[in-house]
Amino acid sequence: MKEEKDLIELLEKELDNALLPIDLEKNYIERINAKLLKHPRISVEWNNLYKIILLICFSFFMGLTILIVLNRIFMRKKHREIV
Amino acid sequence: MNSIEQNYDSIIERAIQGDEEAFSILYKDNVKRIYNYIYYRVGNRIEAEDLTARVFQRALAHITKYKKTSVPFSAWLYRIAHNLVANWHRDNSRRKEVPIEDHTTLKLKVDLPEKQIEKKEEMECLLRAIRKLPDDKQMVLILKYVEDLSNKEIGEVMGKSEGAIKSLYHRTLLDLRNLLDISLE
Repeated sequence: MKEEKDLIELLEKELDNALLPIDLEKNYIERINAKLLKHPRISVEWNNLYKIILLICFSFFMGLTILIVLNRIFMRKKHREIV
Repeated sequence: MNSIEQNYDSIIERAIQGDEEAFSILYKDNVKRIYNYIYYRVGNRIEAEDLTARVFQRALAHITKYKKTSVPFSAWLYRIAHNLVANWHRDNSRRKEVPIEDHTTLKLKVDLPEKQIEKKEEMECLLRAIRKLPDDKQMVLILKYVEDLSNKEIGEVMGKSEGAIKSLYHRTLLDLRNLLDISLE
């Protein structure tokens, strides 16, 4: 039991010597700080912007077409009923 | 709550609201401890620097999700670091990489006296054994020895009680002793 305790104490001493805080270079800290804060966090590429605009236009066109077609169908139905 | 804590809380609040200067203060206050944690987990300076930068990039991107009431800010950063290190280990498990430190130690061995070489080898053996432990046990050792935190503080970081940390630490030492027995055989 005592031997076990001594071993653990020895291990704790070894850990104390092995696990030491490591200093970071000041350069690294500043470089990452600058990188984190000076660069834009979100960038929209022109290619993507064109795609987004194209998608919105296409959706608008499709929506309008569906509305016109539905309107025609209902109008025709109404016209038949009147006739 | 004392004035320092209040001040720190207001810095966190400002950072959450998008104040970059406030985030910079939090970064400078925590970067060393996060780097140390990652360094001892991966055992490579370059990888540790890269992963540390990624922890803060991720923290900056998701800071609005951080809730002050749940965990201390440093604990939140440790969790991000823990996840990134786990991913790093998973990605690197397939290919065996020799850390740069290994090359430098081989080179240095030529000039060092025998006793120093022996001591260095023992230390490397111990660090290798630590890296074989489960994640939570490695974390306890790093926070206790590198960061010099108390069991209570470690508990806050890991989301466990003081008693649970005490018991985890004891089990960690036993595991480590067994691992060293095996590696010495």
